[in-house]
Amino acid sequence: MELSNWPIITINDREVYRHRVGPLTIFMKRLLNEIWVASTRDESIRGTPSELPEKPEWVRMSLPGDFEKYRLQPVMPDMPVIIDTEHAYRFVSKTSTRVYSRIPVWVRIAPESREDLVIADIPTVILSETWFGTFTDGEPSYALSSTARRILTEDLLEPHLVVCPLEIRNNSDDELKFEKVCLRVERLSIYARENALWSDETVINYQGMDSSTDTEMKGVRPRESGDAKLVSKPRSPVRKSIGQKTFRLLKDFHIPGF
Amino acid sequence: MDFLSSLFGDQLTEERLFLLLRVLIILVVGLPLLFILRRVLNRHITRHYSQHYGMLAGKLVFYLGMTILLITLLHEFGFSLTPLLGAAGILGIAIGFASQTTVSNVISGFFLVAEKSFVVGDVISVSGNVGVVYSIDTLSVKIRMFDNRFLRVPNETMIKSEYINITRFPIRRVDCHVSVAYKEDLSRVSEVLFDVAAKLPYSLQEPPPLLIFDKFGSSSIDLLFVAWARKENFLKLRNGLNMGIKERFDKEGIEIPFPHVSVYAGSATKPLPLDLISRDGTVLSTGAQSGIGTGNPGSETD
Repeated sequence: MELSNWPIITINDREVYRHRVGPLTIFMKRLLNEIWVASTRDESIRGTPSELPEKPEWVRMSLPGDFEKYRLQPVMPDMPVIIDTEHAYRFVSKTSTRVYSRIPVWVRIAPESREDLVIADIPTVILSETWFGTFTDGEPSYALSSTARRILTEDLLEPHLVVCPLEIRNNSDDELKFEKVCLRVERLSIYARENALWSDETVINYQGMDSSTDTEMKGVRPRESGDAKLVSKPRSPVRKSIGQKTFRLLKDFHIPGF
Repeated sequence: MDFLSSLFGDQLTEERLFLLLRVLIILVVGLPLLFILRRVLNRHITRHYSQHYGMLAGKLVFYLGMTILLITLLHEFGFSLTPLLGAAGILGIAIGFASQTTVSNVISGFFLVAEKSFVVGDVISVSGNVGVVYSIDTLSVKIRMFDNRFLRVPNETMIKSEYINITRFPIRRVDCHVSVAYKEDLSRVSEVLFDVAAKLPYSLQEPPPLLIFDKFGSSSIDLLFVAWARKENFLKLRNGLNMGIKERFDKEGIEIPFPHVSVYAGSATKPLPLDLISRDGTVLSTGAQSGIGTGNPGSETD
């Protein structure tokens, strides 16, 4: 099955190939066993690819063979994504809900016959960085503002955005203030159906402030995706359940570091 | 054998020849083996743990190996170790008294390594000198400064003095001192500053940027704008923020004032009189006659 946004492309020698995925346009050209890759972004998310910039920032890569065919594949960002809800969202004790967040994917380029030979991983949208943790310990992440939609309509499905269904369960006796959630996207797969992208379902079990939050990656396509096919495996192997910090501890950053 | 016997006479017995051979084998095999072992261990530990531990493990194995090699050689030559160790103890005390600074440096080195305030590869500032820790040795800490000069700080000095480990923590704060003219709308200035930070992808959203009203300056309102970045992006953010602020202020027409001074002649109530002089030097009018510079009391003349 070939998806129009994620095709297998043939690049002839010295010919510049252009392809648009959302706001990103990728340019590729082949010169003997070298592949040249450049990219640009614009305001538009559909339509014809952008023109090659006057001074493109080409990245050259010498390959162990003369490959003609290349696969463009959607992959998850290389760091966790901190989803910041636009409006305060509270869960009273023993409640659960299912929300959807859309995350901009990266485009992976690899020769069709050697998918292990990754030529480039290019983000469709440059996300701002953020820090998940304390001043002395934590991990870098990407920041993403989300409306945490309860209902997903067809018009919200974009070729460069992967829909991540999140099941949030407050199993504790306390109220859960859902302001920010750390989604470990590097452990998620991507499924595609008619150019809509879906990630596997994530279930977040909140046990209370004193206990670690249990995050479970289901590892199967979500029911909403229908017969979507697996197009990308997780960057890091999925473990059945990971007990890690998922909700941000707000108190750590209240002192502005003076 | 006969040739060697003729050369050394009775001194070269068969027993001595074998001893010489054993010593040679110990040296030829032992020394390269020790160097290889040090390098392999250094690389392995550096790859799996850190450069700091790699260097320490390499040195530990090397010095231990050298000691064993020396003891083995002495043993081969027939030296008894017991009196030697006793003599070494006495000698050690004597040398210790004679070289207190050196001993102090050695002991300080142990404390520096144990305390782990910095490790190899950290960027530290010692007495105003900033650089990357190159190695922590028996006597001193070696630092490669950013202008590629080599700085050697004795371990004792390091223990005694204050130093800043710049890269100890994973994130760093960039401070931007911004001055704007008194006429500017501060809420607009604030909006622009936060927007500049938000547009830089390496400016962390958490911890959030912060604007602090510093003071009413003599020529400007002084503000402090701070934003955070991962330590490896610190310089990128500092440049990006400062250049971005200048660019946006120019675009938005927000004035960054130059220092200026209001000059009064005598008391503030009497303005400085001005003479109007043409290009050829003719006095057109004096301040007293024309009323130039004789405005309302308190008006200022730049």
